[in-house]
Amino acid sequence: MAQAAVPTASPSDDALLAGFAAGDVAALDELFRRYRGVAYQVAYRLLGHEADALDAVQDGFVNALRHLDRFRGHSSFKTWLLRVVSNAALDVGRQRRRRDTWVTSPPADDPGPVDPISPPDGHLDRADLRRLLDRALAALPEAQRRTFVLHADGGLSYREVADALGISIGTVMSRVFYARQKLRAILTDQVFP
Amino acid sequence: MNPPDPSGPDGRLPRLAGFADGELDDQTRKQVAEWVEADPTAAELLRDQEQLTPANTEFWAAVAPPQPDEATWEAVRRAVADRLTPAEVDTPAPTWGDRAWFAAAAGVALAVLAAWLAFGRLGPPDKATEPPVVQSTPTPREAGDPLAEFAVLELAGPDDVLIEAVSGDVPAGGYAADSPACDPMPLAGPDDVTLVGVRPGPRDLRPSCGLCPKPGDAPMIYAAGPRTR
Repeated sequence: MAQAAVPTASPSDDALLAGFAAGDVAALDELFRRYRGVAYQVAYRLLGHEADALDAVQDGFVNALRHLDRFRGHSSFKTWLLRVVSNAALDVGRQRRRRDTWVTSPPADDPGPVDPISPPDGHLDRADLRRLLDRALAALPEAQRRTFVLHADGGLSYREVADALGISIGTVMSRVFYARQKLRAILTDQVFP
Repeated sequence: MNPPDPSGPDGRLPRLAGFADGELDDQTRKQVAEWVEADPTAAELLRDQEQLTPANTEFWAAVAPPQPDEATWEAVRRAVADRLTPAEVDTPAPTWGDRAWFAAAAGVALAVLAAWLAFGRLGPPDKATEPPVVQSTPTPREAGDPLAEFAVLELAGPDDVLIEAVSGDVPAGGYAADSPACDPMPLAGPDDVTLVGVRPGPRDLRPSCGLCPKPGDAPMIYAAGPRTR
């Protein structure tokens, strides 16, 4: 008779954080494994660049875990982490813009219209779709983009986004609505005909 | 009841986002449902919102970011761990053999400390137990040093020194031997020096003690040697 596998409950975030505070390297590894994907997703959407997103993930994890005392009791670790990761991503984005501007051209407050992507066969593949969304997101105001990404890619509820950004749920709702309106307008012809 | 104007200033438009995301309370959701049913423009705006909700998994899967491979993730994890706990991460836990070695070393260290406390520190003051005066060589000079160009800083010889007045007894043999460094030279004390215009400093020259007579505070003459830069 086959022996049934005994399910092992994974440790809670609180238990892992306590282990990390006590110097348990395995707890840090598990926290990283648990949230690296969603942190990367948020950072990538805010930056549109894989290497920059990984830099933001690294900075975000380090800063979130260094300043745990600022979050305890106010939100979940995921909410805290995504807040810090999104901060780090926006910082990386600003540094990149300054670097690019210094090398190429004077700064532009308005990124201007988003150029459509025109594949030779007229059919957008996944990479084309992703690039188009990245450009559309980049055209949003920073606060709107961050709010939308924390909800859509971070999987945070309106309440959690409000907690993460220190704004009201009404403001979250408004930013998400207008962000979608703008994205929809940009994506209409090629993604949502 | 007149259909609501979705572009009106009543702030109801954002509720379409909350409705699409299932974030509204029961009462508000019911109000928005009635509004959408009665107003085709609101219904169209709601469809636009619904296309970009997380529930549209087909769209979000199509635009998913490129995923890093495991080697990349491992590099990021290691960087995070190194920045957070540089002394602990990836250091193997001590084995029982290591622990026994540490225990033996700690025992020896404790025994040495106890012996020093019992026979050294608690015993009568002895000149031999005083900390020796450490004579260190001068540190290499900075680039702005006017003497930096000299490879060796020479000692003054007898011909370079003119002694005009000596306070106290002259030691046997006098001061002016073949070399000023071959005989003991008494250090100058408070009686040999007249301080003029001394400003009270934080600790170096206090009027209460004049020149501190501790050997470590006395001026030193260093042997000449090659200067390394």
